[in-house]
Amino acid sequence: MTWAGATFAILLASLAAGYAWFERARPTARLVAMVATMAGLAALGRIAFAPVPNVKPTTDIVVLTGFVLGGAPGFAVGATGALASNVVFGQGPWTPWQMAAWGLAGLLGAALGAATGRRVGRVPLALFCGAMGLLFGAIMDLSTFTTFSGERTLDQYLAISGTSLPFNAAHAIGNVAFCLAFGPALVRALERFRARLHITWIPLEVSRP
Amino acid sequence: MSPVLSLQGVTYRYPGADGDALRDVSLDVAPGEFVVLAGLSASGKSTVLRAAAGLVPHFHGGTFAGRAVVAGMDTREHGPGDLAAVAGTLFQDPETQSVMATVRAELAFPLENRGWPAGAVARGVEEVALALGIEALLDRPTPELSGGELQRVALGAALAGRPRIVLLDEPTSQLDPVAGDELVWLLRRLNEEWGTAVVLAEHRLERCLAHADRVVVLDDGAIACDAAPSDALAWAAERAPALQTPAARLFARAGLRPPPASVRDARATLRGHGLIDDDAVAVPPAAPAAKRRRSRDAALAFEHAWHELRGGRAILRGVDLVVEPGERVALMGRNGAGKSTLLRHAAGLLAPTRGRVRARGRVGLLLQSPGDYLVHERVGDEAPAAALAAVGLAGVVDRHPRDLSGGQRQRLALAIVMGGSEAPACLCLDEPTRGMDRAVKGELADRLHALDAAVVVATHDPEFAVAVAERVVLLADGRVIADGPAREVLSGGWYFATETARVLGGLGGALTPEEGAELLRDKLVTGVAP
Repeated sequence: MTWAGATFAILLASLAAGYAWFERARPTARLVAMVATMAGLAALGRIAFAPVPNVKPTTDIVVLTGFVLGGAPGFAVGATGALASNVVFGQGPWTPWQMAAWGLAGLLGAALGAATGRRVGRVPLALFCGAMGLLFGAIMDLSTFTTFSGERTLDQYLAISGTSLPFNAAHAIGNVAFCLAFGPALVRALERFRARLHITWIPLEVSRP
Repeated sequence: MSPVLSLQGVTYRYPGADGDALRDVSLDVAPGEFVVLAGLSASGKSTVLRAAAGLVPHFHGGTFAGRAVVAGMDTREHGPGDLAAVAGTLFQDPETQSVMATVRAELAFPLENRGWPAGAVARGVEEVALALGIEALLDRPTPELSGGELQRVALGAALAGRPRIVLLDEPTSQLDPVAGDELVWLLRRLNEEWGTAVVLAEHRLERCLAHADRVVVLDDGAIACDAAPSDALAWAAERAPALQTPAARLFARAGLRPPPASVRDARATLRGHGLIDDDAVAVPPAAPAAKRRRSRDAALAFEHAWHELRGGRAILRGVDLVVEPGERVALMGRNGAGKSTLLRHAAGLLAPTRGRVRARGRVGLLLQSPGDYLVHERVGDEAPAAALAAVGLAGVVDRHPRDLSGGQRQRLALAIVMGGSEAPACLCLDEPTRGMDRAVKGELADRLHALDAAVVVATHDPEFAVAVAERVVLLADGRVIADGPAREVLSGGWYFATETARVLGGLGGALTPEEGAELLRDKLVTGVAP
């Protein structure tokens, strides 16, 4: 088993697990429509900023969707957004890596939301989005590391990270800036939608004919 | 027979709302019944319809108590998708209800979703298009339709599958008087021939009362009155004067009884008292010719303006129109006559392909869908406080604009248009009374009267036109066919006339119930028999 083969097997298994989780939660038509909309927005955000390397609102949109709507939708938006935007940017061996990395960003956004009860200020939220950008970069460095043909040592990984540092830093700084600009507004818009997902049925009185 | 719609003790609260939108509403609609829902703005009419369609609570969320059963399906177990097969719905904004690119696809969509074979779909589309008189629109793209055309298309989509019950939220609010009457007639025919139950929420009761079996009046989310039309009118005369139709107000003021449910009833009663004479055929006054006005000092001037689409169709055909500063003009005409296009030219959103349009200063434009103006998350952020107070929204500054009722949203959009840095020299409003009850309409008319700016209102509501404007311009096929004082234009004719003028047959040029009642009282006192 090669490095590349093994990592792809792991990637595909985790993507399948993530989508299975979303499916098994039996999302309502409304939630599916919302996930499709946010994934489309994430992809569009990536395409709109195509001329600027790595400065994209995509990661923020994914993280904040997970933050408000939860883990399974967050993962689905991240993974689907990556797949959909690569229809424009080109599919390749990097696609499952990007799907997994953005899916993870959605998941961690959900974890942040669950841990804090979604009470996070504008600046901490922006810093979290920045950190997610660095994590995304680290995962994509790993993809280079597993698929290239040289020796696989820690030094090699660090060398790859060093080469990509300007790009990853640009991604992280862009995330912080975008989140400072529209993060809380997007969270409020999503929360309005989330409120509508919740239905309280007052039980019928048993005596009613 | 079991009811086709049954609400049992429904109490409902929207997510995040302070109060209940419906309070213990119980209502049974029998198959083939024609029920009109009446009530002021935000009284819960739309919410009742949404509950019957399953959208409350499945789409809107919130807290739901009680039970709603539609054709044997309990909304606790069945969502809007199941209910759509038996309940056709038409809501206030047809723009948000159209999903396909062409009218034909739009009408076919609900049938295809039910898995009908292609032949049956084609036939269903053809029949509903003929029934609604929209066969000429079938291959038009939906985004190009006028508001009224779109409303009929949305109704066609709702009726295409021959549902057992149709739920309609102000279906005639955007239709011209002719199309509005036709639509109500059509609903009555469906109702009589197919036994389709109809539940219709409407502010302009005069339009549908004659066809209704029952009127249900909602007040603050609870049922205040559930009675036959004439009983409901008698109830309204005592308890809720704002709900009275103009003819009922005319009768109440003149001291005549019983309150008429239709123009026909009203005329029959007047004939019985010898107050009108059918033999004296009222000749509609010749349409007053447009006076030549000087356009130099005008707030807004159209000089032989044409608007032609690529492919040759002309929307405006040589419009000459001069609006003086401070003048208030009502623009009337059937759907697709070019009213909205004319207003868009006034505001500079469209340029004439020939001719000229000139304005002195800023022209504010309030379009048909007020939702398009709302961008903030607090009402208070949308417009300056003074502008909000002027439209009576000072009490809701902390609400979310999208949680307001249709009428409130309209007023908010008006505040936004008026509240800009530079006061507009001319304000153009396109169908501003959609979703408004009579009291709110009156307030809007007063508000427009208080403005210094010239006002041009496109409206299908003759009562509102009389309340707002001293001058009425009738538009047909992009041409101005009448232009003159409201009294001359709106007292003759049948469709472009107020209900009072229709009841009195243009007698004495009376337009409002107040004027008409004075006329009738004089006649009753002096005992003039024709």
